Amino acid sequence: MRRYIYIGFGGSLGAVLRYVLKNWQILHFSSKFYLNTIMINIIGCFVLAFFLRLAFDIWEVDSDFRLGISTGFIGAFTTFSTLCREVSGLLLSGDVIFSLLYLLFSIGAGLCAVYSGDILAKRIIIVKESLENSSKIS
Amino acid sequence: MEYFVVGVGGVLGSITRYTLGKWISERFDTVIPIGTLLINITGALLLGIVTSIYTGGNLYLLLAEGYLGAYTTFSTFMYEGFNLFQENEKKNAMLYILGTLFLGLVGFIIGVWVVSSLK
Repeated sequence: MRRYIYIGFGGSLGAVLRYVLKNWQILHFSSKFYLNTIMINIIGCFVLAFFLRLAFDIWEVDSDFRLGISTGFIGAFTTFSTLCREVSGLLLSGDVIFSLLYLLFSIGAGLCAVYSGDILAKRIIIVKESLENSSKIS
Repeated sequence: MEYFVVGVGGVLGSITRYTLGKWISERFDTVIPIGTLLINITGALLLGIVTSIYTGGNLYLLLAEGYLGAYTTFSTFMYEGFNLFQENEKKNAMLYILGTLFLGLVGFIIGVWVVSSLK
C-alpha cells in the first residue's frame, strides 16, 4: 500500500512538471512544442539512469521510495504516447523526413542520456569509494 | 485547476503502469520487457482515440496529458533498451526499440482511424 502512495505521489508530480515544461515557450518561434518533448524525455532518461545507478550501487534507498522516484516521478514525467502523436502528426501531414529525424534523434539522444547518467553516477561512486579508502589508510 | 486535473491523471496513470506492467512481466517471462512494451503501445493507441475526440478542456487534460502521459514512459523504455545492449542482447535490443516505436506509431494512427470511421 505504501508503495502505491509513493508511486502515485511521484506520478502526480511528474505529470504536472511535464505539463508545465511542455507549455513553456523556450524559443519564440513555433507552436509545435517538439523541442519541449525531446527536452523532457532526454532529461528524464538521464536522471533515471543516474538515480538508479546510485540507488542500486551505493545508496541503501528504501525500495518503495526508489519506485516512487523512478516508476512514479520519472516514469510519469517522460512520455512515449506524446512522441507517437507528434511523429504521426508529422508523417500524416507529409513531413516524412522531419518525422524520421525527430524519431531517430529522440531514440539516439535518449540512449546517450541513459549512458551518460549511468557513467556519471559510476564516476561519483568511484570518487566516493576512493575517498573512503584513503581516509581508512590515513 | 488544470494542474490538479493533470496531477490526478498522473496518479492513476503511473499506478496503472506499475501494476499492469508488473502483472504482465510476471506472466510472460521474456528477455524483451514486454510489460513496458504493451503499456506503451496501448497508451499510444488510447491517445490516438482521445485526441480524436477531445482537443482541449479538463477531460482532455485528465485523460491525455495526465493519465496517458503518465501511463506511457519514454525513460523506462530507453533504460531497458540500453540495458539490453549492455547485456549483449543486441538483436533483442533492436527488436524491442524498433518494435515499440513501430507498434506505437501504428497504434496511434489506428486509434485516430477508429474514431474517424465511427464519426
